Amino acid sequence: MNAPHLPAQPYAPTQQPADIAFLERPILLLFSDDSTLFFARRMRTCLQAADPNLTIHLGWVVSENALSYRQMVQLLPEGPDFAFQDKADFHTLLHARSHRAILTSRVYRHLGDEISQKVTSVTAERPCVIGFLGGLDFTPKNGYKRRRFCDAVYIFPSPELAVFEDMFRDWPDRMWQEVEFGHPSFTTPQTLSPQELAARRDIYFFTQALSPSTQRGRLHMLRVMAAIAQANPDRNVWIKLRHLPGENQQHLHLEKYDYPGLADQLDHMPDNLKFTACTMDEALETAALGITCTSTAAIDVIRTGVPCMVHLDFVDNYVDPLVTPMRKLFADSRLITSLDEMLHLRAQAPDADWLETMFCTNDLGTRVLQNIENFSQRPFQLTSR
Amino acid sequence: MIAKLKKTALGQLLYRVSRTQVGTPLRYMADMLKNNQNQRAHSLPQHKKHNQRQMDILAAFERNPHTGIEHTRAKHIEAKQ
Repeated sequence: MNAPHLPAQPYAPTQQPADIAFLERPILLLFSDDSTLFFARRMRTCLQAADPNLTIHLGWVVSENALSYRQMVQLLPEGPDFAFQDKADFHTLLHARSHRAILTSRVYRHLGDEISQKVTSVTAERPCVIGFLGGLDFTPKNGYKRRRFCDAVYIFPSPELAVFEDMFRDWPDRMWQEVEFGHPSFTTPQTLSPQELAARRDIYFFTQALSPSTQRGRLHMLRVMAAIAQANPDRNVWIKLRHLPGENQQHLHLEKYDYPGLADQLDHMPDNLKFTACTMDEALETAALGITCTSTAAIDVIRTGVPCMVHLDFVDNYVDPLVTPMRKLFADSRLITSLDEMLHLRAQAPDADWLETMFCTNDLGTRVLQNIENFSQRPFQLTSR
Repeated sequence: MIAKLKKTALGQLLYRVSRTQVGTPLRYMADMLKNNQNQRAHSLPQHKKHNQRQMDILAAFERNPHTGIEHTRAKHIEAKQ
């Protein structure tokens, strides 16, 4: 394939009118891989719901890129607005007065370095940096540390706000900061009518690169899906691949045993068992049921009102480091499903109290805009250097 | 753990030695360690039992999707009564 030709331009603040009032400047959303791009797209929707007239830019952090060209075309065909290559780009961004806020689900090293500078922190009219968690985080305390310099931090589940406060309450370098509950992928779930669900025939298994971690475990899950397909000829069972085999070799999570490769080892591949690399949104439009092991896809399934099963009893689960934290996080959800229940497609509705601790209200965009306004009025600002 | 070891001087020395003719046993050992099936966890009785149970449930369902293990259990309870 030829080198991708993208409309992204290197970050050049001279292209931005510098004399725009702070609260009228665009908001910048950063991304570098599929997870961060999903975040950026969802956050853009939340912000547009709060203010349809907002100008929102998408910034591609090229130095950390782990997107294949196929994913770029699939997820962001219009291309990003800016490309950030190095430390100098982030330094310029923080001082150019081009954006009112930078929203990110990953605190990139150069961005973190910039905002950790005390002088930068108190500089007037610099963009407000708002850090969200990447998604379901099984070791969240590391993520909290990386976000300690952000001007606003969004955390979930809700009880974790107290954990964050405990960690940083007496921290000597703490500057102005607001801590909130929420994430654009974790907003109040929709409700699908029983008729709507009954009309859907697609069952999706959302795969992951890391879990199950063994070849035997993955082959077992494949056999489970084949058995479900065989028992339900009126339905399609889709194995939704996150990456195509061999794709995303720079991704943090490398897939050792891909499902299409393992399918050759099945005795029989039912016609209604299929692979897809469609987007999550496309899958959830027709899904009657979403199954996953330890993937954050479970959250997307729940949010869209589709019945969800979290299956953690797969073969070799004891060597999978993601199983224990996933079990803990979903312990009260009623969604952890045994193999027998899964094979018979007996899904449970999620627990209402658990939902409240995981999913925030739909006013996330409004709250973010309020954070930015509060930030612009914070005390002790340095107007000249 | 292996990733950490690779970054140390000892790790790099081991790597260099493993690439030489005398490094054959080292390469053999590394292949053994990399193989999933050689992990100690796989030989623990409770883990073997867990895997066997999952495979049995699946095999029962594959044989007869409309009965499965629940049906077997129900029949067992009936027989006891």
